[in-house]
Amino acid sequence: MGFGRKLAGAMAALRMRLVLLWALLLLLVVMSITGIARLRFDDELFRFFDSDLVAFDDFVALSRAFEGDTNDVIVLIEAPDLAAPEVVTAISDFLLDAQFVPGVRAAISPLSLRVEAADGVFEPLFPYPAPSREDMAARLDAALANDPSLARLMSADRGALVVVLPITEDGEDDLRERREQIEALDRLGERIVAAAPGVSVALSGYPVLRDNVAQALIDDIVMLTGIGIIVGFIIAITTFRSLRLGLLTLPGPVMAVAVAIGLHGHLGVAINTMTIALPVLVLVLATSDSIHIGFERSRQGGRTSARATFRAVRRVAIACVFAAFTTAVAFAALATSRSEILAEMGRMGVIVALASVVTVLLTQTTVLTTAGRFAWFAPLFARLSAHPPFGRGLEHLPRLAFRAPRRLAFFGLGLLAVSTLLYSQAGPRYSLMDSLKPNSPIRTVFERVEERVAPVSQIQIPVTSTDPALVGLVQNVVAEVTGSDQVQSIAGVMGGVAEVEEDLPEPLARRLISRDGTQTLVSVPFRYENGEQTLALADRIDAALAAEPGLEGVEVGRVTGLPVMSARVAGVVLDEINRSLLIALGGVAVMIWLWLGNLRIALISLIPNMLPVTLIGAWLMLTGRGIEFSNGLALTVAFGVAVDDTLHVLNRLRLNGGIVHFDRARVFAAIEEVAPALVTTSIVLVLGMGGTLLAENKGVSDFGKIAMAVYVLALIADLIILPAALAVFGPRRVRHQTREPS
Amino acid sequence: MIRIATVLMLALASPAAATEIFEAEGAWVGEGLLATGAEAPLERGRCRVEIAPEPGGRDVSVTGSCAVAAGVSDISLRIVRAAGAGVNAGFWSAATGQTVQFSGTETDAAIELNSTTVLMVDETPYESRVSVSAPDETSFAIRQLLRAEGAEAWRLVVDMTYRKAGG
Repeated sequence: MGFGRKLAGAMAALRMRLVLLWALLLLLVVMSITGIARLRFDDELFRFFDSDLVAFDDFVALSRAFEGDTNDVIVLIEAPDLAAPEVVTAISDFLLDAQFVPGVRAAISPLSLRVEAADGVFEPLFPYPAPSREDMAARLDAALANDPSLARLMSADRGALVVVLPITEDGEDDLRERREQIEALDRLGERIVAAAPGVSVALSGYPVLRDNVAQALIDDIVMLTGIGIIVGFIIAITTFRSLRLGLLTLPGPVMAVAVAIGLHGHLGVAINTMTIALPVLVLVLATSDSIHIGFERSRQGGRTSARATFRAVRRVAIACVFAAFTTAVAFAALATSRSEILAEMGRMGVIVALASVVTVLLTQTTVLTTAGRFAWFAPLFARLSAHPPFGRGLEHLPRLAFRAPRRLAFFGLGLLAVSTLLYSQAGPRYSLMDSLKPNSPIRTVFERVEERVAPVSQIQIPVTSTDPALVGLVQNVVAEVTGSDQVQSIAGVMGGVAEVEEDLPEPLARRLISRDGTQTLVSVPFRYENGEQTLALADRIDAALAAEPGLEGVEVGRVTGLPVMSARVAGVVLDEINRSLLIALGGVAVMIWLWLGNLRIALISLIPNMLPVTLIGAWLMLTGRGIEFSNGLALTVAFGVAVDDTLHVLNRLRLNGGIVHFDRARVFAAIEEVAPALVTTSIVLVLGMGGTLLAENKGVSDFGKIAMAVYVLALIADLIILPAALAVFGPRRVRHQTREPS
Repeated sequence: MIRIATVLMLALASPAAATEIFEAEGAWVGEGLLATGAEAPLERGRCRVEIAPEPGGRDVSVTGSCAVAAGVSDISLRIVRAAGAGVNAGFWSAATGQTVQFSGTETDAAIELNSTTVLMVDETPYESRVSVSAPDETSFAIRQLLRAEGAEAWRLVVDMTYRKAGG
């Protein structure tokens, strides 16, 4: 009777627990769905640089005082000869209609220019009706030779011209507003092409870049999540050799990624070029945890189903939680960044990493416990324990380590030292074009504009003076340093400030004179290559202005503009990312030390944890790529994830009693037991991130490549270097004093 | 140096026949020539306006904008039938920030309007004449002339033909 009552009580408690688990799960589902409904996507190009750095403050001050080029849509129109009457009429049609597109505030094009006629009266460069091709060609050639304004907008061979359309971005839904504006301009461009065969029209500029990035983010997150889930499912099926076990592995990862995306919605954090990596990271981590739970569940064969599930989850949970913590440590290190968006990604990373592990443990416990009530469930795991999981042959790698542990341990240590040295020499690299693939249409158009017509990137210098003579002095210095005859300021306008204020529309006047009328702007277009080249040019201009005696007492601002600001901020932020990696490394070592209570093992674990990062860092240095945002971030974040393997090895060693009674046999046993799971989860990580290779956003794609490389190297290091290092550098005294386990 | 309109861009719409302006409504597109200043040369321009007549047929509002290669400016017009064949109108343009009052007569062939207030351009007062005619059943044309006060010669500043948008 007593046993019966106990059993009934246990069953009731279990049912209650299951009801509670389902209630919690339901709550998470509701939270995720409501959060996903509130999700926002944004390129956040400018917020990326939002920081407390002087360079950013300079840029903000400039943007407040003047009209920048960041809202300029650049339209490249190419034709065999732009002087042909049908081409001139088609371009004129485009220009007139473009100005009726809501949000287009002005138009800068060769068609706005005037030329002096024989009678001294100024008339439009492009008369209407359009003259014959020969007459128009003669007009254009003469103007190209004499007017730098035309040379800035049209190629010398009359084969290409540029139209600049500053657009407004106000209101709450900028993304949609921008999309509609660009679509409308695209449609007008198609009309030119239809009206004048041989003409091509392409859009570029920051609004188009931002639109492209934002659209790519939406496509990428769907693709990345979809591929991640499919890959996880396929790997789970092949590993467990069971469709049902494969399906049972899925709920945890799917819920974890839904919670991660839902949290973005609830916390008002947009999916941007930084945070887009989080859901897929959560997905691969959660799939990895779920597979570990599956493996452990198969080891609990003799127990009742519910107890076996609870015990399996409990035994794996510590490693899963620690893996989440190490990932969170890497993100927390990023949260200290001075870049607002990077810090936000760090904070979100901490939140979703921790939420993910809770979600996957809760979901898998609930699902496996519930499935355990059905007759078909238990035989699945019984069959699995009879046929060990498919390890793809890589699980035999540790045997290599035990054949020559000393050689491999010292080789690992030496490799770590050399690669760390090389990695430390890798400098930061940054380009505004980093998010675009080399064959991106926007990049191609941007390059064609610069190659065929004129540079469009701007270096800007605010001057607190409206005196044309002083501003002219600044203009001359800038022209001398840059060698450009296209420096622009009020010094080049007859009539100065008064003429600009009276004759130019607001979006154009504010490119020369500040909104409060106290400052003027000197701008020079330059051919943008990358951040490094931009900074070198900016520094040369700053130095030349500081050395100009005529400007003594004149308040000349630091050289700025988006290319300059982004390069300056990027340099600092990239250094921070490197520092974050060091913090993460130290943090993980401390956590392992606190967890296992063994400093030596914690230090040894640094070897396989650091090697993937330093090896890739060394490769980046040797190939001259340097540390870019995407790979710097990937190294930090992937490090946090890659530690997962080491933690599972150490957890197995702990469960086998190998921490307290350390010896080679226990290390070998731990590695042998955990290797199939490591191989499988690493394949999940690598292939799950494989979707990033197809990402439209180059930054996401680069991030994925580096992260995948880290996971592969981490697996090899954990299967070969870690056991060798533990065997050679492990706790000696304990190893000699304790007996080998039976 | 890029320059754009600073002066009057009086390129206004009327219905398919000059005398039917009070019954016309909807979106109209104008094509033609505009001067971006009282002394500026004519250049190609395009206008898009919305005509909204009052139900009584004596009052019509026209709002929209006109563009040339270098810029766009909002315009607004109200025409009111007066006693007999008389017509009064008020024209506003964002480019000048001024409203000019007109008064004239309406015939079957055209509406002829003369300014009753001056338009100030660069501190010079200008008087203005506007005629609205209907060259065919689907379009109408507007011509506007300006003359500095005291000068003899009139200068054409708007020659715009309108058609129903999408027609």
